[in-house]
Amino acid sequence: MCRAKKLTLMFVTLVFLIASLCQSASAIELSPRASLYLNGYGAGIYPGTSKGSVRIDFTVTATTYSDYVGVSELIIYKSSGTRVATITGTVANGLLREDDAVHLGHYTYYGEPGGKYYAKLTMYAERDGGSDSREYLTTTCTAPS
Amino acid sequence: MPTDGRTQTYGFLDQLSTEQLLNLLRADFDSSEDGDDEQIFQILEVIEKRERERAPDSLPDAAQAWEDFQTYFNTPDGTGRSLYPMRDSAGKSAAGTARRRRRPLKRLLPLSATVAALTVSCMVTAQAIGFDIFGALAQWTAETFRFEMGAADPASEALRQAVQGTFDECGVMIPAPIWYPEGSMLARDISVSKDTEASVILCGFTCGDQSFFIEVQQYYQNDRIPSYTLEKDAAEVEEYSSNGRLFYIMSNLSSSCAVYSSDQTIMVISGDLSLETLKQIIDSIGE
Repeated sequence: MCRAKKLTLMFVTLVFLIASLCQSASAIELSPRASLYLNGYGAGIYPGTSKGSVRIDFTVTATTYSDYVGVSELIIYKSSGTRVATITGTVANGLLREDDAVHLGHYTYYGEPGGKYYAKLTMYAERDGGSDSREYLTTTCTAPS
Repeated sequence: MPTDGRTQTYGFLDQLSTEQLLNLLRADFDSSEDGDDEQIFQILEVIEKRERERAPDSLPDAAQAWEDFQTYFNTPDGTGRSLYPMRDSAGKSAAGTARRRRRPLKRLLPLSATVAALTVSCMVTAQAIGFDIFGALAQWTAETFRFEMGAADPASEALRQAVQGTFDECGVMIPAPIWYPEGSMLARDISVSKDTEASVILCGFTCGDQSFFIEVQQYYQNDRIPSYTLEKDAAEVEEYSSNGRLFYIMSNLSSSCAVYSSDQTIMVISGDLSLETLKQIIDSIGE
């Protein structure tokens, strides 16, 4: 009887412990995704003006005037998931803008005529040595054939 | 010789003829003011005394008089009619009604004047303190009439013109806000990013040690509007309608943000703004 009581107590404790851990895990998952650096962002992929080309338009807004704002990395995939291009964002290639709070830009990728592509953008803002980023996936677009 | 005060006061009644006494009674009956009951009593006493003196046995038979009254006066077709024939009764009645109407008006006139004077003095005081009461009353053109708050504030008007000018250049379909928090100024030149497919305007303001932004994204084709994501914390999103537009108000840590989207336009107002100030800016955006 004494042993049964002990086993029951251990079982109850174990259940309680597991439940507590689950609660903690779910609380972490539900924590806010606010940002000190980024206010809003959006992007879209569209057929380009020439064969096989697609154009990626984006807008990134920081919470205030920032050292850099825009796209820090742009990865283009085929609809199958194959990565076909990785572009690091810089001021020179137009993906990043210096000393501003918003950046409206675009990037044109030249691929296969009729090919289907989507893009993953890393939205980025940097200020006073700190920064934040968010990944953004576009829909799939068919390049002109 | 009169022996008491009452007799001394109404002693003149004895000098009047019975007809005159009856006229006094009629006049008191017609008057809307409360009559002198004592005088009426004295008049009746005088008349009764005279009747008794004239013919002690010729006092009217009360029972007969009552029967006459029921027969000739208290009839259905006599309802609402005066018991005594009146000369120019319509005029006298109208005069009495007019007197009664003028009395309340006479009482209300000084009260109305006092209230009006207080209101005007309060408005002048508020204007002196800084609330533009007179400027906010009304504005109209040949076709429309509207109330506008804060329109006359020179600083806000200058900001509005600067923002509206940029909006017009980029074909933005939303009017610029009319009202800005006191002490607001542009932090730097209004930033415009233009593309073949869209324009993004960013107006940054400072207000003391705080700052806020008005951003407008204007897209030129319906099929080129991206899905736009805003960062927010766990606080609830509030829907706020003003001038036919539905704004969504949220917070991103210490910053508040209001966003509106319609057709090809997205407007975002964000920064170190209280909820009340944010809503005032929103409310000042015309239709």
